[in-house]
Amino acid sequence: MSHFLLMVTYAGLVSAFFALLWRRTPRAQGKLFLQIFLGMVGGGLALAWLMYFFPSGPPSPIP
Amino acid sequence: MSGQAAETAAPTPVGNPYLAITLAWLLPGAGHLYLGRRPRALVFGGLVLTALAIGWSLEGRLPWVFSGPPLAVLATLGCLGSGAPVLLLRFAVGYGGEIAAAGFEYGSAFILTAGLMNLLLMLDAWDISTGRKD
Repeated sequence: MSHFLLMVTYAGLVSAFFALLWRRTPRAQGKLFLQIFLGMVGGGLALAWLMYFFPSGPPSPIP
Repeated sequence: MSGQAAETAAPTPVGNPYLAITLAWLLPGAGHLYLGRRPRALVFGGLVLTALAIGWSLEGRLPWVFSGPPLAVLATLGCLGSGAPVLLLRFAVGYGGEIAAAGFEYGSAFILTAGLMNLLLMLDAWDISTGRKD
């Protein structure tokens, strides 16, 4: 699986878990699910985009 | 008036809280099943076991450190939160993870998250059993 798909899968599992654990009505669960899911995926993408400006440089030589 | 009182009444305690958290630890979802919350048991158990299975398939790390670096010990305790499935993986399958695997880091996150989610499920089962939560 690609990194992105794994990130989305992880965010989906965690969001579903907390939405069901912390909210009782389906409407509130759906709202919290979207908040957490979009926060995780959007935050991950935003962080990845910011890292573009700070390249890691050439790999260190193997001793 | 009596309807209002019924709506605001505190949830009634159900079952034995110690048995509920023990079952919840042993098998994800079993604590809720014991407390009669069948749909929640199936969904929560499914989520935790799915996370664990994905972590296993990615060959993530299943730490087994009880002395030494505190974070490694905490990670071990966190992973142990998944209960019997993790013990089976460790002792029946001999699984520990494969650091050279492409999905090692992701898999480690999935395995640890499964354990931590089940620890929260244990607390949820305790709250339901003691009447703090419906």
